[in-house]
Amino acid sequence: MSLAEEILSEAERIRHDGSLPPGFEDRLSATFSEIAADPRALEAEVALRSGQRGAPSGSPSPRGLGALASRSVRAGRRLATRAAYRARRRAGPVLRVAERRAIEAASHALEASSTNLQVVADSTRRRLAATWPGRTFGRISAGASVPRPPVPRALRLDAAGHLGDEVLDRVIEERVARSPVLHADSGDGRLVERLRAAGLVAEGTDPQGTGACRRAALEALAGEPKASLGGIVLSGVTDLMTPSRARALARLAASRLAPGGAVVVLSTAPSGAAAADPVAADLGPGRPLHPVTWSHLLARAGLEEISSCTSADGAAYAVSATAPVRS
Amino acid sequence: MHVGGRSRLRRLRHGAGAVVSGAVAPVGRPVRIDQVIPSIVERDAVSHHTLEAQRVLRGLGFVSEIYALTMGPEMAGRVHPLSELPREQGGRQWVCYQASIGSPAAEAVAEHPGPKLLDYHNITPAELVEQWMPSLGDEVRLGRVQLAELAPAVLLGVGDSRYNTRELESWGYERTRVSMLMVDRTNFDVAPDPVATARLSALARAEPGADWLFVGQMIPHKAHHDVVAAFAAYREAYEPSARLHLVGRDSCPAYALGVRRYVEVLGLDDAVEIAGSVSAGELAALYDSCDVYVCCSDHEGFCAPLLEAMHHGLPVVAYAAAAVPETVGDAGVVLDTKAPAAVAAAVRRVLTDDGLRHRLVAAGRQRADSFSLERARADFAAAIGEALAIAEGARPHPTAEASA
Repeated sequence: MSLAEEILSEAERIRHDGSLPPGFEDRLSATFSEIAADPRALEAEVALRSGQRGAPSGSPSPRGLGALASRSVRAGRRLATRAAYRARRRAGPVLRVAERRAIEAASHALEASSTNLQVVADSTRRRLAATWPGRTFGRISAGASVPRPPVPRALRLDAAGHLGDEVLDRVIEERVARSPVLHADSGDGRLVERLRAAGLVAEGTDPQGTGACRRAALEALAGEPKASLGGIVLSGVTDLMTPSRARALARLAASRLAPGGAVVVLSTAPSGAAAADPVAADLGPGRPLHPVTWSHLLARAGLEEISSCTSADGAAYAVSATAPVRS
Repeated sequence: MHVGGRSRLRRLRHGAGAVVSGAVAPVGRPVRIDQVIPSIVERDAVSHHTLEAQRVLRGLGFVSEIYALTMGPEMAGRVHPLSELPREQGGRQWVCYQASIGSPAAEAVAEHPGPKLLDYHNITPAELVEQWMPSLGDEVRLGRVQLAELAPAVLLGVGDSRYNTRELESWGYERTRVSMLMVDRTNFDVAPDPVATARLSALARAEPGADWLFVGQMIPHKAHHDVVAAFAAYREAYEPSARLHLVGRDSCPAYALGVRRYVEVLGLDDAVEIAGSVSAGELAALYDSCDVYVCCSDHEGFCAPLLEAMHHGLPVVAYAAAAVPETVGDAGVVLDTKAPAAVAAAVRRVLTDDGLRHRLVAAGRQRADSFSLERARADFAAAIGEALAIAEGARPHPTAEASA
């Protein structure tokens, strides 16, 4: 008998002579499978732990996820503490307003700087729920799994290279699940084709980056009946925004969404745009906004479930929101 | 912004589809052979190999610099940013790509006008990592696409194992050669950290039991969880006081947390030490103090820690994945299964059969000696010689023959 055969024979012996309890190996395997069933939940826990440890600013962590979440949690806490301090100095109705603003600011800061993991401290969530009944701010708490709607896999963009970032892909995959969908500034239309392949009714407008066409994209959106769209994807049109134009676009998108419909804003990060072309960033007719600004504008336009994420390289981000369903 | 227009992956994909420059036909002797590597850091086997390769190339009389997309701070002055890679026309400037991941660095190599060499250290299959690290899954998948696209422009594909060269051949590389990983084993001979040694001795005195060791980044395909499962079976069946030491940085925090959770759930908190990244002295103390090295990795292009374990006289029990059987040879127990009971039984056999253990320790040291730096350097120099012969037309490339 070879050494390998002797070892396998010994393995059989310990399986059957009671050295290992019956089913021991199966239980080992099942236990790890259960732990590994939801890696995203483990990621969320890692991110939260990283934040709770208060890692030094800018300290690297593998893939940057922990540091990102850490920054977001710290930013949220700073804002909440600052606002709570201000609130304590005031009285009566002013206190409630200040608290509400503080909580909203904290929530936005958290959402804007976190990835698709919408890490919100439990205490903040409880205060939010108590302050604004019926509205949601972030959807994931520590260790919880991320519920994902059953959207066809075809929606994930792959070899064509569009979207091209797993994090941003997931935003579309999670949030845009109803027809009809309008994609303003749809480029060559591949996203629209993918949306259609996923069984959605989707249309795109194609501005090709010029001012006139960009206006045409917005006019197309304005031309839709109110509360008629299941999904709106805004990209390209969002790269050169003035404050008034951004507010108007947020309101326009909110008004065109059917209850439960989702809008996804995809944009270049301001830092990325400034680095790529500082002259255009300074002198251009508008500029990309920060994700927190879009979060704020979409919330002001009455949308809910606002979340944001950044691409792996930080050059782009997505902010998504849902039109409320009134019972 | 057009959707995804500036995403990293898109840039990577652009790399995959880039026009590949550089003739494979006879081109003559180069003046310089530069190396391109996606990332170079201290304490990394491929990075050390690249630095050794530079010494060999300079020793052969070539001008040779290293260009990297990212580099550790300790590499400043020794490595240049990839953007500075010279691109002189005329074939007197070659480039050697050290490949182990999908990277925009492959794009720079593809667009380089000179003849190309590929030194392949293998790329982890996407299916082993994408569940835990979706973006890494994309990168490694892309890496294979990039290397397949480079094939027609590469004079010679070098792999540090036959397993690696077989993969190159499957992508269309017509000329391949095995050249050992250049590992400076004098780096293994670090004095054990006295504090770590004392701690491990105290542990052993407090409760005598076998000490298992596994060294590798906490990343899914290294399968730490399988080592933990085998260790749990070993404790259950044979030795409840055994201990397991896992060494390696958390390269995938979610997986690392999963392994920690697994250890907790199995009630092995007191028996499993997850040490993370340790100093060279601490690692030497572990190699000296432990009784067996157990590797259940699902994929290894070479696996330098196996070499280090054999160098330190630690008997090896390993799962026969990828290039592991080539690296271990007959100097360890290599199993075709990593069922916990089988791995546990193998470890038990190694620890209780004195004759087998002594034979494995002696064979392991001999095996480690066979991977000497001198031999590996000679191997690499011979690979360069073969590439030069191809370039000078002594052994024209098959595609050149076909077109003639």
